[in-house]
Amino acid sequence: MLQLHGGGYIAGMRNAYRTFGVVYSELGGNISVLTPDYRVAPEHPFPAALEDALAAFDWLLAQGYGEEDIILAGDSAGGGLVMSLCFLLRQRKRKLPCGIVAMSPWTDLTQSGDSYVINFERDPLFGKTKDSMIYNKDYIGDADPKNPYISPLFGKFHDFPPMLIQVGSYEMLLSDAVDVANKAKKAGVKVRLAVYEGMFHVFQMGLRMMPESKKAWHEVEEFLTILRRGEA
Amino acid sequence: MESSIQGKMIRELIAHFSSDLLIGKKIKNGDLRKKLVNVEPRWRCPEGFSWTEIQMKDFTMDWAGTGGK
Repeated sequence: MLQLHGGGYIAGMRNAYRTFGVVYSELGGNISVLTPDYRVAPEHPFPAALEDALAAFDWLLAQGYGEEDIILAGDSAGGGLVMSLCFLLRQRKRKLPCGIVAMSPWTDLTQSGDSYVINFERDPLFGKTKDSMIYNKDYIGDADPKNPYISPLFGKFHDFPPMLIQVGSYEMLLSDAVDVANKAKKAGVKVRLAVYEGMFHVFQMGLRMMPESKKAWHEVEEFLTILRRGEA
Repeated sequence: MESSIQGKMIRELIAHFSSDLLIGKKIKNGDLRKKLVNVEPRWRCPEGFSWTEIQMKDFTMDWAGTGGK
């Protein structure tokens, strides 16, 4: 598995993602998990993170894994980045990985979705202000925020592998997940979208502390099992 | 369906801290998240797992697993 961590493209790797790596490994049947501490803004704006994600993917291939062996996983910015990586691979006429797990993916850096308004007051992490990470433009720099490599929502999802997308209903990023799921489904992609009622951004960090996070990880386990068996 | 009691408690706890006058802004704008990277204790790999740091040209990577697949 190649795991791309969250952090709004402005914050690096932290121990929570090393824990996620262990959980993914266990749930995936002792799979190995690669987690790059990719470069972040403002020192390294777009496309640095995407370039590093591609370098990590290529590193796995150099170790002898095939694209069909690789699952991409990411949360928040990492959830968007896994989709951007697939666009890049497809654009270069390369094979895509066998599946995607995206938790609260940040797919729209233009903040165009309804949930940016509807959940403005109730999102416990990002709500009630526009001075938050999800409005930060450091990663975008001089680029167009509608560039699908920055905002995957504006890309085309044909030929994408099966995706499991999880999101909380209280998130300002709810639309990012729902709209991508709908668009990908229309493009013929197998998508499982799970909206967890009352949950917040990357609530899976709760691991076993909350029934919702336990259920979400169980759902991940089922998805990984399906991918491993080639039943997706 | 409403969220669980635990889910609601954690959600309200996050909302409480993120609206705090002292650290709320830093939580929301990512400053705290950035700082966490530098102040976290060194990762302790659970027994039964291997963990290797790999140096790339521009960044590092963590390679973790049981040596299985």
